[in-house]
Amino acid sequence: MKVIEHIKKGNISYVSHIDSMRVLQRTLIRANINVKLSEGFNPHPVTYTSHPLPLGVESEQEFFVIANDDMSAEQVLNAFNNNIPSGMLAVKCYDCIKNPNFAKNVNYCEYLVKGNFLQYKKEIEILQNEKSWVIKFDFKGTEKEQDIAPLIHSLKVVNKGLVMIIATGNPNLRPDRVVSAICDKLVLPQKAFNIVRTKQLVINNDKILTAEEFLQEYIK
Amino acid sequence: MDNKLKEILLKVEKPARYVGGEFNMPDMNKPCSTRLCLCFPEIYEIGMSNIGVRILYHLLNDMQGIVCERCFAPFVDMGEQLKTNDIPLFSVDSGKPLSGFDIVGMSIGYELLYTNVLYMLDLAGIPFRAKDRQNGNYPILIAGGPCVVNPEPFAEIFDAIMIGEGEKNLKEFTLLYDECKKQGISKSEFLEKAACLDGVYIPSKTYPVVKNGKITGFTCSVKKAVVQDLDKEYFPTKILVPNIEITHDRAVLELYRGCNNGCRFCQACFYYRPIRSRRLQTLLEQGKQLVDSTGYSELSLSSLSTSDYESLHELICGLKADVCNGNVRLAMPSLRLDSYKSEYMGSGRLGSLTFAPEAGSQRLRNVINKNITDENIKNTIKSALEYGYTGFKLYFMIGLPTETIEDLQGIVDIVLLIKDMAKVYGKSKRPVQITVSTSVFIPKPLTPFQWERQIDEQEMLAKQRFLIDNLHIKNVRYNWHSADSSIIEAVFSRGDRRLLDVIEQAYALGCKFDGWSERFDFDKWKQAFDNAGINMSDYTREWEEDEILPWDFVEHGVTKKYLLSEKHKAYDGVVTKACGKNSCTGCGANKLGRCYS
Repeated sequence: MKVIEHIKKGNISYVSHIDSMRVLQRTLIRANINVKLSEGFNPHPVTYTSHPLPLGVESEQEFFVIANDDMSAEQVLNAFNNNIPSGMLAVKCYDCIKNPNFAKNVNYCEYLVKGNFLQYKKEIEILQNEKSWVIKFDFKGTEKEQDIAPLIHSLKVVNKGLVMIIATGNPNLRPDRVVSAICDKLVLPQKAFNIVRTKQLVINNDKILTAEEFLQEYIK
Repeated sequence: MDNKLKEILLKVEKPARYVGGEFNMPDMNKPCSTRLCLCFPEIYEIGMSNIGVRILYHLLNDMQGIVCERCFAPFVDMGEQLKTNDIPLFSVDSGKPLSGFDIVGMSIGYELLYTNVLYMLDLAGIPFRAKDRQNGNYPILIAGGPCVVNPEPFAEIFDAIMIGEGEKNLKEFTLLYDECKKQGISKSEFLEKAACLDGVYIPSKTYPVVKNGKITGFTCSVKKAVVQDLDKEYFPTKILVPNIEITHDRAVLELYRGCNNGCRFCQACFYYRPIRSRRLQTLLEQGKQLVDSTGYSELSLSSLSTSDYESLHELICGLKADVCNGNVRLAMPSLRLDSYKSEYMGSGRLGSLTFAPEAGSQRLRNVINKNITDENIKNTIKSALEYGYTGFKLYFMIGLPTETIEDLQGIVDIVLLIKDMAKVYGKSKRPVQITVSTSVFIPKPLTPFQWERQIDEQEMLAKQRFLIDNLHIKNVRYNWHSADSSIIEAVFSRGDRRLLDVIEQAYALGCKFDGWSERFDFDKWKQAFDNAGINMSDYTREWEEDEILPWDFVEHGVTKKYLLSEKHKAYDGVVTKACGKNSCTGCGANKLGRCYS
């Protein structure tokens, strides 16, 4: 198993998760990286990804896992980077014993919302202690409600913007909805912020593991 | 990218259509003196599938000092957002507004795209007519694509129109522009010089002389540009790989240009002559490079009639051995009914077999010169059934010259024949599914049928009704092409300069994306014709043989005399055999370049 850590930045962040998967598959073909096929009636390459990124959100840390044991991590990294659109370049490649299953294990992500929030630092940071915070949003034409309070781990205002750690996976909280809810609460104008997923995290009780730390037990 | 645009992108469907970033994108930041933007007046998924745009985009970007970008028609949701937010239409590659380019080119694929040309210009803030752009710093607007066979309906929009093959005229036009720009030569002086190039039509210099509403001649003529040696001509092998799924999401090899069959309704057949092919070795190399550089798992062998490529068997074997390695599927469009061989078919799951007999009876097939016999049809069905096919898709045309009810009955008879034969030769227990599709005959310029009338709406509906009633058979589906849009297509395909008023009126009434059946609004088009004071029937009528036609100023190689003789042969039911290396039929195309060289 090879775990490829890559970015998704710039215009390619407007490519949906399902389309990005096709981009990744084609990259493997171009790069001549062999991937084991599944054993079923319709064999397909065995690959896994981390949690889907909402459209328009950039990322500094995405994971793409492939069933490949015949190349070194370095060879995979080079071949991958020579064949991927520039917005999705790989940063690292790990050689692992088995699939770390990011989709199951990663339950929180850290996002940076770029912008100047310093003047609202106090008001925003206090919101993380809310016991209940119900928001309404449009989901495929119908209005839905969600209590986002239990899904927010932390909100912190720094010089670069707002850093938030929120639930990802199941249950899931979209970062753009949090920003929009904050704007609602503080009566700020709604606009499209530049949001970047900066870290994927595994949080159990009070123990916070970054994805790299979590990966250690899988690395060969 | 500014924040306003980011907000918009999150509100529209498939924002990836508008942002580029594909793999194999050429260097847009290289030092350059001339910037072009090639536009395709349809959405990204369709425009990116166009092989012409693909070739020219890479060809221009491979030239020193030239950068070429792309722009596609934003879908209605994006168009509305751009309008309300006052953002001018921009290129996909670098997000630069269209009005900031030196040259903006439109590839016009078919008649129902004309309103989309105006739609894109409107969004870009560029005035529609060339005469309205004389004062002001606008890009030079040019057009190309299959519709330039008769460019007259849109001629007055453009400063220049490329007639013929872009590898020749667009390349020379761009080089000349680059040189003139460096020397500080004015736009009008440059256009004057460009008029001397082969295949460059300057509508303000070459125009029809009209007396009493009839064309009596032209100020000068234009010779179609033709690539002389297709084998040595540029073909991109490191092509863009889109990040979203496009309509034809595959690598494409172009085997040859032109077609030797000479079906009398087919414009492409005559327009793309002389017949020139690529060598087997060249295609094998290009196929390998394409598959390696893109990662595509499908390679299409494209041409007007792929089964007529002389080394097709060797090409397929060669590609299967060296390129495919079991992972790449070969796709073969446009197989002729009589050329069907089971070895051409893929080894995977059997789909349905698609063929186009075009007419139901032998008599009518002789009239249109579709050289396949009842015997060919029977043999093909037999071998396909024995091979295990359980689906057939059949394409026909209705409203062809001399068509009678017996010819329509012939369509029904072919369907019944397949059903009968399936009982004898069918391998599968599943019943054979047959889909019949009919389109309406449209008399196209530069074909032997260019003088023919188009049947009127009532006749179309009656013929369709006959087929609906008679194809009401178990496991048979009948699809038909809308009568309304066929009329509009016919009007514009043989239109003249007066029709630009109609296009403008139609756009003002809200017509765009007319090629999408759900968006086509015939009532608005009727209104547009009324507003412009023009009768559709003036264009769908039968034309006199001695009339000067709006597109007669173009030297296409294929002569009017030849087309006329073919028309007469059609009425006599005489077929013209497909031409070949040693059997020239004398169409005249070889005056512009050697056939079968």
